[in-house]
Amino acid sequence: MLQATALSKSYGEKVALQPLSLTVKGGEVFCLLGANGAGKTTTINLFLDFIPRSGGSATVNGLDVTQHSLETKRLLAYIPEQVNLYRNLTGLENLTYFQQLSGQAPMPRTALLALCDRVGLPSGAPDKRIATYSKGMRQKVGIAIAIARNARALLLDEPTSGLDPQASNEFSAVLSDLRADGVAILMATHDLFRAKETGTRIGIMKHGAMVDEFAAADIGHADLEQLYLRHMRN
Amino acid sequence: MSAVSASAEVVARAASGTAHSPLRTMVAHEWRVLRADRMLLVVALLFAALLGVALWNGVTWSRFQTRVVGELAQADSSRFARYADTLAVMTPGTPLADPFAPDPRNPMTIGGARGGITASLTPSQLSMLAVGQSDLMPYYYRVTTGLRQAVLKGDEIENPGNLLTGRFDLAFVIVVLFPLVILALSYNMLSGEREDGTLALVLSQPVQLRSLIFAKLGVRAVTVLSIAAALVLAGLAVARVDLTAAGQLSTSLWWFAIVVAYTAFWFGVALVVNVLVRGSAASAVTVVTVWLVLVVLAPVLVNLVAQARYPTPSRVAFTTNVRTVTNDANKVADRLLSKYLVDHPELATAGTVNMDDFWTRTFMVQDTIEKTLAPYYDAFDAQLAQQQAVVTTARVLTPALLMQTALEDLAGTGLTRWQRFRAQTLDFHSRWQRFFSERQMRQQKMSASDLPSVPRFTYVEEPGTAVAHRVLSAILWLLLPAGALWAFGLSRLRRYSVAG
Repeated sequence: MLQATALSKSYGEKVALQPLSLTVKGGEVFCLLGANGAGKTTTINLFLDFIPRSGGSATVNGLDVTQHSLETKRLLAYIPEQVNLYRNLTGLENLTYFQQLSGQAPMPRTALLALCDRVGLPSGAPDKRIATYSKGMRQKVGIAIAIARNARALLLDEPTSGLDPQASNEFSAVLSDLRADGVAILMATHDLFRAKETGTRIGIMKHGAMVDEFAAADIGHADLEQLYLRHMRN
Repeated sequence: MSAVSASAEVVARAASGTAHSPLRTMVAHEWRVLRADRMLLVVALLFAALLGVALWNGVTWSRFQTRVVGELAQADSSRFARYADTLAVMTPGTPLADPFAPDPRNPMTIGGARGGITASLTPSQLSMLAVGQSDLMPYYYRVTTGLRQAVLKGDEIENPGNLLTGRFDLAFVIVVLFPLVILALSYNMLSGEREDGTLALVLSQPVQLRSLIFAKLGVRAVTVLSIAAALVLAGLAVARVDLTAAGQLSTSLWWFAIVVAYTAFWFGVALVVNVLVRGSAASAVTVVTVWLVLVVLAPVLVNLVAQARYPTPSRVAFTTNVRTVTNDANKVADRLLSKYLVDHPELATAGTVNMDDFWTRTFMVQDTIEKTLAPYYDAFDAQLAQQQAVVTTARVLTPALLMQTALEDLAGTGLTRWQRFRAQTLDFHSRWQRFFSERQMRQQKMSASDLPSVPRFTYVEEPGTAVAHRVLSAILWLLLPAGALWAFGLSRLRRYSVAG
């Protein structure tokens, strides 16, 4: 579903991403680990066509993200580290907007409320302004948007950073459900535990390059941490 | 089936209706966000209040002028009615009942300094929309047999049309403040969303940045234009302007058309700033600078250039000149007759002109003075015309001047109408002078039957098509830079980077 082939990005002399190749099939969760500045966010931005690439290609369902920008975005959903919504609108108004923006017919209020309930938003919250939301609540609206969009691929940029353990756990549960439905998920994260729990494949990035890649099932929690630290120290 | 599958099922079923186009969704959303933000309310109320005050000023001034013009006409016609009454009961030679009352049998009583007539410019119905030059330029002149200089004495000729100052009128609000309202609402359309982090989320949806900016610009343009249109219509209603009267509707439509063109220009500026400047704070500084340069500095600069290249001749020098010429002419008054008769052969019959008559001498002297001064007047007018030409040329580079001139033109308070009025008045002054001086020099007394033949002033309006032509050219000169800004902004939009 998601495929990068020798995808690279540099800003003048500075290389942000060395030629990277990766594939995320439907039903897979690919976790990108690495320090800040390792190229994780760059990779996601390239899939979103937010920045022009310097080389290689990025495709979604076989479609090039630059040449078929709108078609590929129809298949994608994106949850950034900070789900920033329109502060003066309610959670439900935000959800309605993004749901309709994807080109779908408007969903009735009851269906949207059911969705809010499903992602764990407290009852009553959907009609409150976003300005009153906590970070965790905004992340949940972000997930609700992704579900409402009926996306086939999910791009997550450190979606659980700053969430409390319970919220983080609920988030993982939703991801597992989506994976079960055949959604391809690419997630940048610092959370080794979540990566091992929800990920099917794990890639470790450093200085804009993928230095290691393996199946999550092949490694234990403790080994993952050791491996990660070893890569970071070298 | 997982819980999410169930949700997706709901989504699939719920989404079976018709989808709205993203543009429509974004327009509706933009309107909701703008409404939820206090900024729009504050700006709209402020704008409405300013428009209200400006309209009130315009209506007050327009009504005042109409009243003054009406009273002057009334005074003239009642004076002429008194002449008629007096002349009807008098025969030549009978003494007046009151020996100190003016004797209308004497032509100079009616035509001279104690008589005379007013040449006035009635404000047009739409003059409330732009006070323009009408509070600087005289809108009536007292025409007598005196010197041209005396007629124009109210005419501050060293002010060729101060294009900068003026009343707080609707034109000022539209030309100067309206751009600020537009810029205040739109300087951070992209940078604001980028800084709030919502832009990335929006553009991760299958929508184009171009559609987003169109939605944002469209909602803002419709909002500000609606407020402006609603208030102007309210103002027209308050002033009881009859839009069905000849020319009023087309003038109002032209008025609205040029406001739309001006709006397009300023939204073009906003678009380019949004695309080129990344931070909201920097954008704010940029738009204010652009506004300051285009609206405040450019018109000053144009006037300075006009003044520097074609300085207005000194008024003091001119007045001194008038005095010298008058003294010289008085000294040689006797010798002036032969010269005068060359120009007025109809008076050349022996015995017609009596040089001992006070008025005859006065006319001789006046004639000489006018002839001597003519080159100065011409030089002065030529210099003003040159200045005006500079302003007219530079107008195309300064949208504010272009707009100001066009709005005044439409309201009938512009320089063109005033210059026409002045020229027609001077023409009328010559006719008036000739009528009375010839009678006086022939010692012809006035009778009741002569009164209808006394010249009367009526201002001949410029054909509406001429105004429309000038306004159309102004609209095109506004749309040209507007189109360039839009084209540039939209092409650079493709390179706008959402991240980083």
